[in-house]
Amino acid sequence: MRTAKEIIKTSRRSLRTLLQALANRVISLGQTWPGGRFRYPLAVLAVALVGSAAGAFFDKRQLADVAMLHLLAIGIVALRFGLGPSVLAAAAAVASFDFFFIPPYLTFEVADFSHLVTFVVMFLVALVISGLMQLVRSQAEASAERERRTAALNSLLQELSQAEGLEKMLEVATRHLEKTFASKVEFGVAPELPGYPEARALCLPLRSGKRAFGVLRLDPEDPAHFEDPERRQLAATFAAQIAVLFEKAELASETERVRLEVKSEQHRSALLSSVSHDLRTPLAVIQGAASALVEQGSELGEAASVELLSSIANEAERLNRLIGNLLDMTRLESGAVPVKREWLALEEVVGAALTRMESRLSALDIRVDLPSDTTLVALDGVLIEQVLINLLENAAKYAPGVVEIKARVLNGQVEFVVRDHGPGVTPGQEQLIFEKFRRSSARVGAAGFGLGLSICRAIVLAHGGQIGVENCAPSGASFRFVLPIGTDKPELGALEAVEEPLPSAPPARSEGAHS
Amino acid sequence: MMPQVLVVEDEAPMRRLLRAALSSKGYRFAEASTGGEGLSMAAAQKPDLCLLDLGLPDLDGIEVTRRLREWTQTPIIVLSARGQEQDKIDALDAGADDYLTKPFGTGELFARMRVALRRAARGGQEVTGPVLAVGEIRVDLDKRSVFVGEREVHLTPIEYNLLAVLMKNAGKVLTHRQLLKEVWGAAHVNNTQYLRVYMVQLRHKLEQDAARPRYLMTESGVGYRMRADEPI
Repeated sequence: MRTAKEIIKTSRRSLRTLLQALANRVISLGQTWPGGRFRYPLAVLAVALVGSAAGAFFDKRQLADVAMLHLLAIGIVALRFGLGPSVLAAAAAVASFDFFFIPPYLTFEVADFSHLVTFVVMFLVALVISGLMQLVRSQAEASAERERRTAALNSLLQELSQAEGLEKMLEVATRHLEKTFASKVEFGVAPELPGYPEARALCLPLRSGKRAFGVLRLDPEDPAHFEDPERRQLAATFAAQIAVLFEKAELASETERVRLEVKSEQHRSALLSSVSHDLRTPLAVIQGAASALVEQGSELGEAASVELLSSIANEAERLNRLIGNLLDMTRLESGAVPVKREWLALEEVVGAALTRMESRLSALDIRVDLPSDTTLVALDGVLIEQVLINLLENAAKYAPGVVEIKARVLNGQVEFVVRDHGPGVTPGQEQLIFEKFRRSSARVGAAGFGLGLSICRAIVLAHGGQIGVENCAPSGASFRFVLPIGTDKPELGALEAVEEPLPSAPPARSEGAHS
Repeated sequence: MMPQVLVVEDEAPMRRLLRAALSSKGYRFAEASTGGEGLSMAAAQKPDLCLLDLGLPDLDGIEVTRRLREWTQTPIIVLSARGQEQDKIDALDAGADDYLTKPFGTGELFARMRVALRRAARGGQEVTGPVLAVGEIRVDLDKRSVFVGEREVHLTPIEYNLLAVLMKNAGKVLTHRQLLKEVWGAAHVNNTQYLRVYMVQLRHKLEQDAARPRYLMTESGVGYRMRADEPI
């Protein structure tokens, strides 16, 4: 008994699998089939074809074969076109079978009632096959739909996890939800959502753990859209996943904030220790020398007085530079120094830096390599001069001797190189030396906060450029920075046109050429 | 008699320093700690030169300059902090003669003062003779000829006009706006790129090393200055 049941069960299952495979194939064929409109005529045509074929090839006494052929036609129609056409096909088959093949021929009269069984079977076949097909078909459709939704969810999650910032995430989620549910999408805090009188919209909480982010509201174009429980379930899954990602993003930004806070705290303490040491040293010298002069001025000889006075002057200048650097860095970091781009001659920028450095350059033998034409570049002259000055000071401090300054325009960028022939940068510290309060580890004794290079970097970055250093063979470091040359190069054509060959007579302008 | 100098400065230590430095050189000295006080002292004492701090508590130094210029051409040297380029430009355009960036050495201060006083003694910016000379550079305004040492240099008309303006104001900072107005006319005061290009050309013709000029100095963010021909 049990085995019989099992056999039936198994065979049912395998039949179902078989049918499903068949149905999938038929559905896939059906997708290319020329439209549902022709299903009924085609059903009748199939029966007509089978009937004619049977009439042509079989003897009228082979009734069983003819009936089978008709059944085949009904089966195919049921498979392909479903219930309606298959019932029509069954009716047509019964009619054609009765009319052409059952005596008395060419009438609908039935002499032998045993043929009625055949008719019933034909209808039953049509009903059973098309019914099964209906089932299989709707199951296949449902699984395809599920697959589509899973894919939609996956693609949403993937894009969402790559989106940065809540705003971008909301935009991505909205786009995906609109596509998947054909609905108007709104995110919000629950009470803020505008109330809709119709209840067709679906409201879902965005919640992850204990944290609530608000409400997702889906307002479908088709009012019945969310009557399907599977759709509602899917929407809930979407909402849950979105909430999880929101929480992740929130955690990430929180972590970043904490990291920055810790970093700035480290900077502050580095600044404090550096400031207290580096400011006190020159102050101590000034105070000591000045008090010596005040208290024992007359006892000190001429030479000693001059010595003390010049150390006061030197240390005061050093203090001034230190404080200037500190202020520059603070202003650059707070964004209080706007980059004032102007069209400047490359030569003049370098020249102005050298002039300002003149008194402090005695330790350096400077070679300048500049383009010979009047190349104009758009940059903030005061700031870029500061970069060059800091690089030259750096060289004077660590690598006295020959220093080469090179500037040129290359591929829409202007490149500056300051190359010394000193000991170079400790390998591995090429990035580090541009950090605040860093000094090359080989150069600890030198004065300064180690702000010079970080000021350089801040200025270059504010120009949208890049700065770096590399060691050169056989010795020395090469600091190089590139800046975008700027767009909208000024028109000088009009200016040239004003110029005429040197006249011999004095023009009127020269008379009034003072204010 | 030594010139009378009016110092308008709100910081007492700075006034003390200036007093010590100026009296050591024999200058006569008067001091004011606010802009208003400075204006009334200037009217009362008719000083030969003003040292004017830009950051005063009551009036800003640019305004003081403007009001002084309403009635006097006495030279004004502005004292300012670093990073106040726009204030310097405004003060110069308002009529100040020169500026010094704090902190400065007294040598630099005395040099600027001498240049300003000498120009004032000539009667404003009037030129004394037809030939101007700074270092090796000589400009003959009558013949419109320019020499560097013994070598005659050929300049285009604009280059010549630019050089002449700078030479007539040797030692004084001229803002971009002032130079453009003088040489190109009022319609071109914003075309600083003209000025940049011509300064480069002038340097190439006049300077030994154009990248390290000895005469045509750049005052970054402010303007240009012809180095004063004066042994300090």
